[in-house]
Amino acid sequence: MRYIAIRFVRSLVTLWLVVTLVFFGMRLAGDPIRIMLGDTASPADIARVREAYGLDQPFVVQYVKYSANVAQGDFGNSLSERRPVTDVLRERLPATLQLTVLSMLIALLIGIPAGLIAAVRRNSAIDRLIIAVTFVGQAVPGFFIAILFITLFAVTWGLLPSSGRGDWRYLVMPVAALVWGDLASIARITRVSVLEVLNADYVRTARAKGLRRNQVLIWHVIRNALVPVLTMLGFMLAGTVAGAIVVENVFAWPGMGRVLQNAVLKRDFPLIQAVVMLIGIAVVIVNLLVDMVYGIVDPRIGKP
Amino acid sequence: MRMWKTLRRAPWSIRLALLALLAVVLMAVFSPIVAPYNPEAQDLLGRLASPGSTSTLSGYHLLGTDALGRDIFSRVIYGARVSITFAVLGTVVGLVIGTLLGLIAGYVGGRIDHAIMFLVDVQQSIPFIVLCLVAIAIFGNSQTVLIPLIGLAGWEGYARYARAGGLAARNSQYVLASQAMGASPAQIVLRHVLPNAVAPIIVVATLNVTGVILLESSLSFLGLGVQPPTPTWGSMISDGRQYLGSAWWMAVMPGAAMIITTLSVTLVGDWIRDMMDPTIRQR
Repeated sequence: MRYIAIRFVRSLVTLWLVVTLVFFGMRLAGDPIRIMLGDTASPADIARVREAYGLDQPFVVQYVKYSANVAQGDFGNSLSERRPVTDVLRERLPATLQLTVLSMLIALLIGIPAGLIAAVRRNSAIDRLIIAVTFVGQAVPGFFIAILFITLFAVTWGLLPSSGRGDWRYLVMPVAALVWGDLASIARITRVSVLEVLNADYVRTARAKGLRRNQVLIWHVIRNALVPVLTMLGFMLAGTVAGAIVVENVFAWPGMGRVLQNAVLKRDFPLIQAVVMLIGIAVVIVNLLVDMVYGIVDPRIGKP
Repeated sequence: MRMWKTLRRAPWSIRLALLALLAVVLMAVFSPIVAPYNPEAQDLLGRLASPGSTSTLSGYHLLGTDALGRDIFSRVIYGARVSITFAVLGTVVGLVIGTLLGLIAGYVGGRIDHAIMFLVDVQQSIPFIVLCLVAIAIFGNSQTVLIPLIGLAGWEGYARYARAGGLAARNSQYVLASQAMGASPAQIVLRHVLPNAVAPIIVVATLNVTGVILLESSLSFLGLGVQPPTPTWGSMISDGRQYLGSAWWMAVMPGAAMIITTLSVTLVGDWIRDMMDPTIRQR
């Protein structure tokens, strides 16, 4: 418990640091109001809008106010959409969650067995094939796979819609493109980790005391080999979110990735801050959960 | 000589990858000589010409032309220039910064170690491309901003390996000996600790190159990277999106160039890792 509490406090500090860095970075960037209103705006208008957004006050005052508001779940108003940031997020977050969660699940469901098979049948044809696929997976970015998908399945054969969000047919290509990005790393990590466990003493002992091969695999190998895979979940989420930013763009998927891209183009700082913060929170939460599950899977961890 | 021997023993896939890389690098360095046309020259009568066709006005186009009648082969060659520049400069930036921080963390230890490792933690909770987008919103996307920015990608990987090297060295006999002889901390770190930590760092660097190339392409693809009219693979793929039905080569050709490059780098990087890590080689 103490271990998890320490991790939790560390995570909070991490998030606070991220918010602070982004906040001061944004304020260095020049005048968002001028960008928002364009070159034709009169100085009086600029002053009025600046006051309305509270940007006329000193940095430190703005920072304290902002932190207090964020702590209460209020991210201020979006400069480009002219409505509360939380409204924008509430509208767009489900679409991104749908994409990322589904992709991660599918990637785990395919990647772990693939890595396991490759390790158990080491140096066989199927091992080589899986390794080859992971190499290609690492080298080809999701956005290019997405383009190839569109060319084949939407443009050439007309099987799937090429953009937008709707029934399951709209999900197939974006999810496949995101799964593509995760699959290689999961399969590789599983394979390496299973190989290591297969060489461990307790596996040899289990075999020596006469347990069947499959029993050893299920009770000893898989359970221990999954710990490193578990560790990767936080990184994997970060990676999937990174992939989603680009993949959402390709498929005109109305999620957070598009929000972030547009916010960056329009220098909509309150919106950018909120999106960054949200991604940070998601990764931190997943890492915390991973830490908790850790203690259950491997009792050695977490005891000082 | 030893290098040559290792090369001759390399499997055919590695030799092929090395050849491909050599070709890409040569294309990047000698773009003006290799490219058949000016990459920005338009031929509005020869728009969207298919690969291998000849336009009456602008001549033969090996990989076809794009929506403005620009020669795709020439643009792919100039695009290599952007990718290779970022791959090389970007890797060096991240390697130097990450390694220095890691060495300091490992060798000095204590609070400084905690602070640096905390930064590594923070970095890992935000995807790097998101940090890039934030930085681009703040500082704009000129090349002077983009190269160091993209270069930072992967610094935390170098830092962790360098830190491990620093930690190991701190407790070693040879460092104790040079301390006893009165060497300064900077001398010890650069002359004794660094050389011993360098092998894993080189491996991380080769594996990181792919990431740098793909990051630059992704940003260009989003329209937030290197700006037109400079041709980049990412922006060419993005431009080709509207013409997937009528002129697939606009997106596929630069994509193929990118894949050949990243696949070769990945293969070579993996091979270098196997060469440098005897425990893996035995497997």
